[in-house]
Amino acid sequence: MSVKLDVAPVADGVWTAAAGDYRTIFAAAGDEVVAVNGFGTAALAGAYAEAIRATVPAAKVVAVIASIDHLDHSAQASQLAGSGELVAHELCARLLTSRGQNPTRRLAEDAELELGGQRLSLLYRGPTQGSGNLAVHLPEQRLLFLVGPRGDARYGLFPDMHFRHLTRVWRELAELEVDVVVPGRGPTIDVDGLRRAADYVDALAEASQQAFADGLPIWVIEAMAPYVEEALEERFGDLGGFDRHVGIGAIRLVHYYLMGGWGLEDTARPELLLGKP
Amino acid sequence: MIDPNTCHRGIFTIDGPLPGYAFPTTVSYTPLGERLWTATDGIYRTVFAEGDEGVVAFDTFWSPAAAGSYRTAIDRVLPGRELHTVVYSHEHLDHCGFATDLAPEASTILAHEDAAAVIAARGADGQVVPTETWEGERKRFEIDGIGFELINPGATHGAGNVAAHFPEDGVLFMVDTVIPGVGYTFVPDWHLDSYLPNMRRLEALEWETFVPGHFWPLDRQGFSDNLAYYERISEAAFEALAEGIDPDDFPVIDAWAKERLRAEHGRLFRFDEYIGMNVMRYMAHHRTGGWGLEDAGGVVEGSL
Repeated sequence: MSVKLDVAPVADGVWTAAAGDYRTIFAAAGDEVVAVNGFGTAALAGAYAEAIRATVPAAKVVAVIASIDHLDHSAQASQLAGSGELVAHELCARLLTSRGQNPTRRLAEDAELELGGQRLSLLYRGPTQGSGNLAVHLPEQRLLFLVGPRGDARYGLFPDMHFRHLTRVWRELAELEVDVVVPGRGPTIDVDGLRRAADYVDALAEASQQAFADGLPIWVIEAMAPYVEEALEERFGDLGGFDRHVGIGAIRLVHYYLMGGWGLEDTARPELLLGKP
Repeated sequence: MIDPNTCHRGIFTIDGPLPGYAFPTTVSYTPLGERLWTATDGIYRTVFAEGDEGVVAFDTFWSPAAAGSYRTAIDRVLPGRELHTVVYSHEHLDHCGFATDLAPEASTILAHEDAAAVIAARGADGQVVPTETWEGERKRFEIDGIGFELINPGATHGAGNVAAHFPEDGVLFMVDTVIPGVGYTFVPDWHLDSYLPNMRRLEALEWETFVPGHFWPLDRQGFSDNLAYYERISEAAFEALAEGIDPDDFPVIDAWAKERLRAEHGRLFRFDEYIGMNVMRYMAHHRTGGWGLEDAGGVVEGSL
């Protein structure tokens, strides 16, 4: 079955490629291309490579940045990189390696890179979603790519999101001088959209805690969904998918508070994951 | 009574009172052996043991008030005894978050080093950092005349989650891994890649009664059946993905799961409440490849 991606320019020399809800970017200087991630299936990765070649004549993928470990974004990153570089944060790289991928450059902190004639900042400001989730900043193109935030409310279970640091990181990244924010899923947004994504998660977190404080059976979605929907509808009811997603999101968030978070990522010292004292 | 305005707050960040943490529950108790008891408020469950001089309590229950209720239950069974040791099963606040409220006099708080690392880094209000840690897979303890072994079978749920084995009483206690009925909500912080094989390692031990962290004790068949249920849910999640069910859309998943699985599992405790969430979590797991480093290479090979 042939798969076709939607490709559109988002900045000078930068394009976004989307397959349904999933989205990524690639940037070109001459015929040298830096791509991010690579989608979740071989068919989509093939379509991505094809889309790059159709957009950039004689394209040579010199580097792929695996911005997150999740299979639905980067399962095919190594194949897409081919003989080029595969760059990942150390925590992401550990997972990629365990799955047979071969990162060639492993980052333990923020890095400025020149790859394929592009100047990139790869930013890790703490755990957000997944392991070693990097924000890809192209300062000259005033563009930011990040898996996690959305321009709508279709977060489902907030899979593998680390609420201790999530919105702090998103708000820090929203202070960058960028015009376009390309999320890993859903439509492109801007820094105001990124701030609103943080506002939504913070408001859902507060409403979920208040539900517990008010004595709701926080494990029952028939009780949680109408409670948080009423609390948040005025501010966030316009977000796509709000009514179908806010209830399960509240169940997920209230258990973060009840249980204390999931692992070192949700503590004040996530650097312990890297073995730092 | 605990004041909801001033009680320990775990990691809750909202202002104002937390009556949910201050509401006292009723904790009942049942003997499991000559000196071993299980305590429950109907939802949470744990064990405590009578020592030669004092008491060893496992876990703390889920809130400051519930910890107080747990202490009241212990004091009724073993009046006037010092509660000198608290053993944490793992690091989650809803089981181990309130040792301050349970036993302010406890001189020993014992946990696996993996759990202790999270607790120390978390800094939750009311959760006491362990005073003593252990490492590795198995360790035998003799505390105040009470003999038990702690066993870390590998990644299952949370961090440093261990089973407590009381061989003289034929009891195995472990929290949030095997629970009667379907899994709790979206099986939070379960490491689904390694959960089943690591839990099955515990079947090699000699025990007749499994005491879970919730609801009622199980026999060996109940333990095994519960693990088999998760195998089926994992398969069902693959089926749902193959059929194009949106893995983020809970109402659609819930309807699909109830229709697909009711004939097989509809009589299980809490089926209607949680079957959709169970399937949704497994779908997310399969799609993303697992959540965190615990889901990479977490399966421990070999028998205990």
